Amino acid sequence: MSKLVAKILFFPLAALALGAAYQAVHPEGLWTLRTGQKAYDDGFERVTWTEVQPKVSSGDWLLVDARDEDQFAAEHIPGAVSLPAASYEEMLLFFAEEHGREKPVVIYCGTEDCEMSAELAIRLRDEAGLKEIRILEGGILAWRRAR
Amino acid sequence: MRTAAIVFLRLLIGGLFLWAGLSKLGSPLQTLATVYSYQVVLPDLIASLVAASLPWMEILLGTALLAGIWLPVATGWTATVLVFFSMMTAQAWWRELPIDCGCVDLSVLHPALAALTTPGGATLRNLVLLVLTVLLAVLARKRAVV
Repeated sequence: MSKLVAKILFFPLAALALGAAYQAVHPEGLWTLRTGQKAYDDGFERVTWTEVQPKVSSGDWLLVDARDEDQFAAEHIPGAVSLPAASYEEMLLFFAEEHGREKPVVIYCGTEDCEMSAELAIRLRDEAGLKEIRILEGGILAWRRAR
Repeated sequence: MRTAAIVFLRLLIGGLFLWAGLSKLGSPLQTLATVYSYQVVLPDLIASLVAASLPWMEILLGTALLAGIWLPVATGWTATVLVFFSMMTAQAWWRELPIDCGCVDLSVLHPALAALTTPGGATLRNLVLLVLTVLLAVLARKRAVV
């Protein structure tokens, strides 16, 4: 009987342990992002897709995709530019030079909570000196739902 | 005949589970996005735990089925996971959510199979797999008894 219980418990417990360990070592590991989210959660205005769409269409706001390049290539919001959250500082500075530090940007990523957006937002503010940064609430999912 | 059926079902279901699990490992964030896209109210920690452990659950179950290890327990868990998947895809289908099912895209085998990644198609596929898993469990149990 106890052998059967051990076998039954093996699958979920092993999956949890392997999953937790894998996330800890993976470059995009979820635990790292969770920690980052807590550290970077404050200070940036969250905006909805309804607010963002007209501003982006008129060219007033620049839409920035914080996910990695493969994800951007697979799907992105039309008009968005790719700037992965893990970009080197030089890339952030190049981005600031190219688009200007005064241009308002809206950052999105792939998840509802947008951990990478917050991470990129604080880097763009602190390392590249951007003045006006917002985060798209719901990330790319908000755009998908509105399509 | 029964042995052949058991082996066929083990390879089919186990292979699909292993494929599904491995395909999710490369992009944890995409898996988390898929979990969120089902729009079931979950605390962030639970959503992350599901996204982190689900691929490994699929890999472990797929490996066990392919290898024929602990078959009664492996089929029991596979059926449980498939019931969970069916409920998730069915509610997304019902609510007309524009989701990517997060499942194996079989369109690499034939373009028409892309329909199986839509909420309706995924629900149908999960239910068929559930029936096959139950059949496997019954066949394997009968063989053990005999």
